Amino acid sequence: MSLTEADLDQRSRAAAGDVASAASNRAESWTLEGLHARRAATRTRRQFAGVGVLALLIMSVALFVRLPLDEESSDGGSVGIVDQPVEPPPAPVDADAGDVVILADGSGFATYLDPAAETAVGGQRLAGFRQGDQPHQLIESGGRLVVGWGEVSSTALDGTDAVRLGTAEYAVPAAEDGTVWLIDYPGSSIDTRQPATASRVDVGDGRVIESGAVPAGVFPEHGIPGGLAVIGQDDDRGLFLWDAEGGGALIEVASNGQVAQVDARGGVLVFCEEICQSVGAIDVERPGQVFLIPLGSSVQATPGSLQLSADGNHLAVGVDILGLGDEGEGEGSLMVAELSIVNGIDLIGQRLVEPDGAGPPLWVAWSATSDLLYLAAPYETDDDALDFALYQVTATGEILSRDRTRGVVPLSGAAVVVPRATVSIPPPTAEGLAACDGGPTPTGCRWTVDDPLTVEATPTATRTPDTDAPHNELDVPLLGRYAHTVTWTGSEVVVWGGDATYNGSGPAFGDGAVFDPSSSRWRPMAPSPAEPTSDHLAVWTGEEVLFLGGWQNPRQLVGYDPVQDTWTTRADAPFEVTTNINPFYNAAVWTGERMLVWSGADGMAAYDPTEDRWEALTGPPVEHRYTVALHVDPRSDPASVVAVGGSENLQGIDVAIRQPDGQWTEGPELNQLIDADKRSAHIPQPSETVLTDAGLLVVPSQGAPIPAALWDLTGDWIELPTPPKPGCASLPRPIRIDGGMIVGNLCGNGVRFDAGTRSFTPFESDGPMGSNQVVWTGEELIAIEPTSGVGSAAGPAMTSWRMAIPVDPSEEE
Amino acid sequence: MAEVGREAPGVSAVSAGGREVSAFEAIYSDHRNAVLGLAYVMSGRWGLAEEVTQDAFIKLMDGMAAGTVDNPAGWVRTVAMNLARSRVRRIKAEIRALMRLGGRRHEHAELDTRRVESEAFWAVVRLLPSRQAEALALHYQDDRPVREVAELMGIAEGTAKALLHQGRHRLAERLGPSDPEDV
Repeated sequence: MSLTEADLDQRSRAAAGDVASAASNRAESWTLEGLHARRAATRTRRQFAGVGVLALLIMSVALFVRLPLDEESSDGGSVGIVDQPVEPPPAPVDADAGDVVILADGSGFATYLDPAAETAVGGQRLAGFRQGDQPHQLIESGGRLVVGWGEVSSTALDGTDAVRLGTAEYAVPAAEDGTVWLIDYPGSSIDTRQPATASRVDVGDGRVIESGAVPAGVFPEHGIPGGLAVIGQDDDRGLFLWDAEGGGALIEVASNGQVAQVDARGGVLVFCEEICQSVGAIDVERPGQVFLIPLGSSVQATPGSLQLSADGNHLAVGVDILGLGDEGEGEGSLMVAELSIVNGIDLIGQRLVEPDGAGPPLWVAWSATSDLLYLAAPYETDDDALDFALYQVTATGEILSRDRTRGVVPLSGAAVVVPRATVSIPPPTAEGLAACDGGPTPTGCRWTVDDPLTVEATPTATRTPDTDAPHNELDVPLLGRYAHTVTWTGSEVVVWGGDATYNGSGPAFGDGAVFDPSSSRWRPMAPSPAEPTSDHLAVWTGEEVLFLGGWQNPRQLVGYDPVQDTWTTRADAPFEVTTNINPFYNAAVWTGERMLVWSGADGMAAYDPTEDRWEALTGPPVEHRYTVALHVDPRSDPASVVAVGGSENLQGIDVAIRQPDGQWTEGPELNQLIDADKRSAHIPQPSETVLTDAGLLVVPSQGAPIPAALWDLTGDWIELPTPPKPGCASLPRPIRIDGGMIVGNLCGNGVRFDAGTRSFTPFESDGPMGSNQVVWTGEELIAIEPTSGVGSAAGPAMTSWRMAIPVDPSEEE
Repeated sequence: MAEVGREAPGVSAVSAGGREVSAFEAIYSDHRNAVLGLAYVMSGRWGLAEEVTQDAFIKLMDGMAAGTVDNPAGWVRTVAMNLARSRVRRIKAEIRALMRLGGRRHEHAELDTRRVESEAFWAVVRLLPSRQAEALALHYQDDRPVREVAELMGIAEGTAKALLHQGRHRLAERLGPSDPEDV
């Protein structure tokens, strides 16, 4: 039943009046002076220190004028010129001498794109890359790839032949080909309060070529000839040069630029502030002469998109058009500029390229020959999914090609381009083929230009379970996936749903499998009547698993009986439930009789499976923001439920208890324990809470400068010692085990909390734990990771790590 | 309701500074509340709405000074709505991508829990296709007749009428049985 026209008009009038009233109150104190101050502040941010008058002069004469230069240009390339037109486009690219784009796909694997052959091979393991390494970093130097955090390695371009380069927190590109800078801090984490050791090493054998101490207070960002460009870590975030032989002295480039992006090639250093509307450029031999390249008043560079060509003569910047009138609408663009490096930097010409219908570039990368550049830009598919298109653009801003084949270009923050002649694209792995929406070919995915492909809804499992798998690695008879659910039933692990890509643009899955830890055997689930979905919730009732909502069908509810292997469809949820996009994520728990579902946006409801009926409930009296959490107090009977939200202004978390009679009792906010100056560094999340036998525990993620906190459900929050920091990149999610808590990361490092002693103990294990899909069986953790293990000819696979809980040394005694 | 299309367009690029400021000030004073309301309706976040409203007026200030804006009141609405939609879309895409990376938080995104009582209504509007949502926002929130909706969106009047019809139809459907209060 729909609203009547009259009702709709009435509601719309009331809603309009409501907003108008609120807007009037909010804008009441606005003044013209305030607007001028905001305008001035925005402009001030564009000025880099030390270039004041010069910058204004340059910006005033180097006007960025968007003029239609060539109406016949491909793909709507509106262009603007400065000073004089750029050089004519180079000769057409010889397809046989083309490029290969190598992308770090964010999960420790690489994807190889060959634009000329229109093939893509994904899911290639990079030797030397460990779970937990910075997933979006990829450096090419001397014909090798450099990967890894903590332990830095280089590999051949095809991902094989790992060579360990050394122990360091991270690596940055060096100006000298064939080398890379390793940045190593005392301890095992990046701490710019301490000096770091910077060593430039040969990527072939790890041999140290030069080394020195980078002073505290700066962050090494990029190599320059003989040294590094470093960004100050104080409030001003200035840019400085560090000379490896200079005894730690820093040369100032910009003292207060709020610098956020740096790139350097061929003796040219470019940089940009956080809000980047003009790019600073210097000849590193003349660091005092900063040349500003304006991007325009209505565009802004996107993070990580500042890219110089290898010779330093061309600059590419991915920009975000902020929207002017009917134009733009947040669409993406690319600015290419040609630079002169004679007696300092000068601008020969620049051009704005506007890829049609795409968002701001995800990354931009030049070819080794500096005459072509590649970029990936997001676009919305016909069914409102997010996917990435690959563009090939000349150095003068002509778009040569655009490829939109779904699921081929992964979400990646790192891309390198190498001549095709230098790399032999490895054969596709099962994971690579699994992502081939266009269908596999002998060399990888079919890649059809400008032809979005129809996506099959439910790929079919093709692998036979391997029941003789080694203890620490189990083959899962399902395609690799993300945003699926893993549910422990008390005797089995039920894995269901999810989708094929990080960004949700891939096909959703409607299949699943059940794992029996006692026999190490998997069995398939009966076909589900549910629409394939990801980002859904799963709740075990004691008799069945209820799968609720999801990205593709946010209201659907189905039940799965693992004993009978049968499904039942249930009444739709009263509001949309998905664990993604919706800024107020949802949570669900089983209270013993009903499933309680909390949507931060839409309130709370309870589902009774015996009557197949939903009931609206009064939601908890807590503020809420991104994530919400619900915990059932296992000591209560009937069940009390603890609701965890986030207090207003992102300053802490807020809690309440729902008593068995349905009444809510407000708990104390956590804000008090967090110093104001630490809030910007880390804000506790509801997802970082776990209800232990000692109370509700909040465990800050690795490196967060705040203590752990405990609320015993009656009094106030108490501060606990800051937990030890496990090494390597951390994606923690605490899990309740044996009345306590365990939290780990993708390296298998973590801490466990003993509810009895209220103390933390660090540990190292032999597998990743940082997944959102981890269950505790009472004896062990089972993590169902989305990415694959070693590629297998047998077919697509998903790998889980099954590992015993590390023994607490104190317990051994 | 102020007439959108034609008020105070006579600020030329070369006119005296005093007149420019005066004309802008009048536009700012008369329309900022309405623009803020539209930005909120499109974004559902007051903090973001305030930001894009001020940015839109800053752009308007520059545009009027340069003499490139014929219809300031309409222009600033369109800019504000574009900005709001653009930033929300970016936030959502970033959130979704980042959440996939193992549940990382996204602390710096716009998160605003201060809502109006009618938020449920506007939340449903925002679920509609963006052009329908924009048309409805202009029609309902800014009280614009079809002709002005078309003018502001740069589309034919018939197209605006169709968008409003489709949007109202979907809105009525969604506000009907799917209303949580009906559970």
